[in-house]
Amino acid sequence: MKNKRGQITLFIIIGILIVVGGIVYFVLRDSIGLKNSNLNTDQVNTFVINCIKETGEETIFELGKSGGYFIAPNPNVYPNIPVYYDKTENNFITVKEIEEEISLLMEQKLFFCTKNFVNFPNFEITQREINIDTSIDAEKIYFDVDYPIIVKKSNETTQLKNFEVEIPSNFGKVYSAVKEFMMEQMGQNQICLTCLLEISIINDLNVRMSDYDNETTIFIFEDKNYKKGEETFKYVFANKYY
Amino acid sequence: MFLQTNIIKMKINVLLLIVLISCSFLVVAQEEGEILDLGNLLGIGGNVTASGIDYSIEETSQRKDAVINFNEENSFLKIGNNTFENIQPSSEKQNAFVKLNEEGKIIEADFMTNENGGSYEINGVEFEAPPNSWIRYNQKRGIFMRLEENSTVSSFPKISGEEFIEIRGDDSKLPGGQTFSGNLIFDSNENPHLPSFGNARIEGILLEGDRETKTRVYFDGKEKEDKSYVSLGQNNLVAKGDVKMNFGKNNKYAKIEESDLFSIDLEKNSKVVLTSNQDRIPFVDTFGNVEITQDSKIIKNKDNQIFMDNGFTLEQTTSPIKLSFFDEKEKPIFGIEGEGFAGITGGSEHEILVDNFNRFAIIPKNSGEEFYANSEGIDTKFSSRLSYNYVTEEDLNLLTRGKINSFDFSKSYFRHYEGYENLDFDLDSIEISEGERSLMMGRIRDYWSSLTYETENSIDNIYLISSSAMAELIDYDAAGAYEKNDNAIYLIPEEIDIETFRHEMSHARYNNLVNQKKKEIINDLPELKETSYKELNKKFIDYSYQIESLKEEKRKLDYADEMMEVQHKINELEEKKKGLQEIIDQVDGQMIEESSIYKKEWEKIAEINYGYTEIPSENYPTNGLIRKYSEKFFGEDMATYLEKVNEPEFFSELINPKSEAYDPRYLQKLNYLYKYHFISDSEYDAILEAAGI
Repeated sequence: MKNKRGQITLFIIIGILIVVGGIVYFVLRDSIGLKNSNLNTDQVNTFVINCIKETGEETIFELGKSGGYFIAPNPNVYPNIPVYYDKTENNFITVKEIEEEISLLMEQKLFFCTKNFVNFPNFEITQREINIDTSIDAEKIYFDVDYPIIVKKSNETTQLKNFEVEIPSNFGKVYSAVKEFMMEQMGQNQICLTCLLEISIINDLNVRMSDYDNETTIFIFEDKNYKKGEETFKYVFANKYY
Repeated sequence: MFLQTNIIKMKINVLLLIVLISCSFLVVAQEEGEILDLGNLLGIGGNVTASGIDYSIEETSQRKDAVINFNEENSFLKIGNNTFENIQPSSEKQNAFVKLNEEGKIIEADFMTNENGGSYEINGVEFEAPPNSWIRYNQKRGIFMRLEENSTVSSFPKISGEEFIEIRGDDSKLPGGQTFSGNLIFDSNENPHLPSFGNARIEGILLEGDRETKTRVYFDGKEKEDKSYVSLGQNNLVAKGDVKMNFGKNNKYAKIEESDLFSIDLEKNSKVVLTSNQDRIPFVDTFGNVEITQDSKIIKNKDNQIFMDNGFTLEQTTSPIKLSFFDEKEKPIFGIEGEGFAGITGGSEHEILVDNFNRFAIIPKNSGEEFYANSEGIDTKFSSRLSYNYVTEEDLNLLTRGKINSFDFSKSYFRHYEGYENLDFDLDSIEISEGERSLMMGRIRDYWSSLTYETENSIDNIYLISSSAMAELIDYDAAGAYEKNDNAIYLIPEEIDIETFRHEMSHARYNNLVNQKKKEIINDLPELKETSYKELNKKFIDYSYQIESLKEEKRKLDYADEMMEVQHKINELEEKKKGLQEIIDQVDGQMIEESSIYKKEWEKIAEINYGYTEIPSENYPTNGLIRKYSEKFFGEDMATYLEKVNEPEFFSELINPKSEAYDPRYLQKLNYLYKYHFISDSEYDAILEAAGI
């Protein structure tokens, strides 16, 4: 009996809180500026999405040239090309690592694309720290961008925060081709041309190899069907053979 | 008692030995021209006659052999119908004998034919011996004949017994005209075979045969039933079994230049068919496990998988070939079976094209695409899936160690340099194939990697220009390259080589050194703190232009007051110009004085007055100079050193105090180049190491 009375009291308190909270929100929402304003932020939203797409594509093409790394770890060869395979040592990059590298580079680059929103002189826009989550699949790359942007005009303020963007990309396909080749390479001290040829035909890629020094061969996997402007996508890495 | 018996036995044995020895040296001299009936004289069977000989009997308890020595120019020995004649007489240096057993059978021989050569038969082996051939025979090793250099064997030996003959040639010729050096063994009336251990160079190919199976050598280019063979035809070559072939410069199947390394190494049951094609690259069809060595890379079929492996590190080049792979049952193995297989387009048999410059490309077989090989390389207008060391402009930007951004070829092709608008800087207008273009890129990449960091930073651009543009640029049509002190070098693509490149880059490095010094001087001048030396000069020129135009304006005026006003402006500008002139002169003077330290330092080592002398070109290197052109002035002296830095041996005699060619200036100049980073640590060390100092 005592318990039942206690439960009724709790429900009453919660109900009062909900009602009071609702009143306070409707009374004060104008003054704290977070009302459902009529402020049209579509342009800003589209601008940011385009920037994510543009920066994402730039980042992907850039990272391709350095074997998926922003800064190639040791061992590497000039200029910023990672050595994936060094006879016994396997330094092949994982897809998770690439996703993190893409996120990291994009977080730095995105500001340069949005240019502090100078293209929107009619708005007062403030931005906060960017956090990006990237995931790669065979034909697309998904960006989950946490980019808090507060757009203000006169007394109206709107906050944009989450942008989920996907771009068509063959990065994943090329990476898989490279991975397949690297799996074949493990334990080998020679380049399997049969494997490379099959992989290149199946994935419709061109592969160029080039001597870096007497031990190091640089591989360039090129996808001529994946372009950014005139530039074709290239995935570059090196292997050492003794 | 036992000991005493043994001593007696030993004494008897020694006595017998003395008797035997004395018998074996029973030498009978023959009178001149006399024909001896040796059969009777020696008590050996058969019809044996001789002339111009002496003979001896070697007699043991088991046997009695006759040794016939040829002593005269016309000596002969006739055993039945078999005549040994045209034999050089024996001397201290050369044996000339035939040893017969009691049945008159030859058991040993050692002689050299005279200038006529001869036909001989030893125990069922009939053979032609060219002039001055050395022939040896013993029952264990068979017949061995060493031919004189460049001699010709007129016919293959005829063999009716179990004996064989091994012939060693030295750039000799076989009956079909094929050249050979090394050993060939004739053991039947079939073609010769390669020795089990050892090799022979036939038609410019060094051949090493199977160690377990006889590897016969045929000369018709046809396939055989043998397990192991090499068949050398007029335009093709077939080889099978565990055979190694190293293609030399004089072979007629693949184009081999001085520095090329091209060899084929087959495993048992494997086969290769090489077909040479006039004006096109040879086709090499391989069946089963095989290794093709091209320069330091090995392309191989290992159990129907094709690999590329690092071979020995040799600074050599490749020989152009088109390479196809099949399994032992002659089924294609390189590529993907069936067009459209699993939705794959282009899936088909592939082949490898190797060019002359350590590069290869993998293309669909019978694609119908045009390709060719010339002295420079393969044109790569085909759709190669895989390629090796073919460098594109983009790759070059990506891979060149150094000026990635400024090393922008695509821009430099179209760049028109200020003041040279009419020049043809457009590479596309220079007639150059895609293969050559790629080769040029590859060369520049390789050459670039030979530079020191400081030299790399001495230029911003490399311009590739046509020869007519070069002639216009420097008013001198014999130059293949030029450095203009504008942080760039200008090269004619077809004339790019490492020496030219390093020569021009040395000028660039020197100018950079001087320019750096000038920069330091300018930065130290308080008058120039707020402006740059370049701006000062620009302003000075502007003043000059303004003054000239005001003077022109003044000439057109009619009224004195207007003229006075213009003249006033002119005077003001003249004053400013004069002030600037003083500063510039001061800076220039100081710069010339201070930056010439590098020139003076070099000239102090050189100890000569530059300018062409009457010393002929062939006398160089001399006087601390590399070649005649080095006399021109100190900059060319310096640059010609850089031409030779990649050949450490060039300096070995010149810098070694123990050598007659020694001149201390060579090492002093190398030290200078090392000190100012014209040459790298490794280059400098290699030169000293080669000289052993």
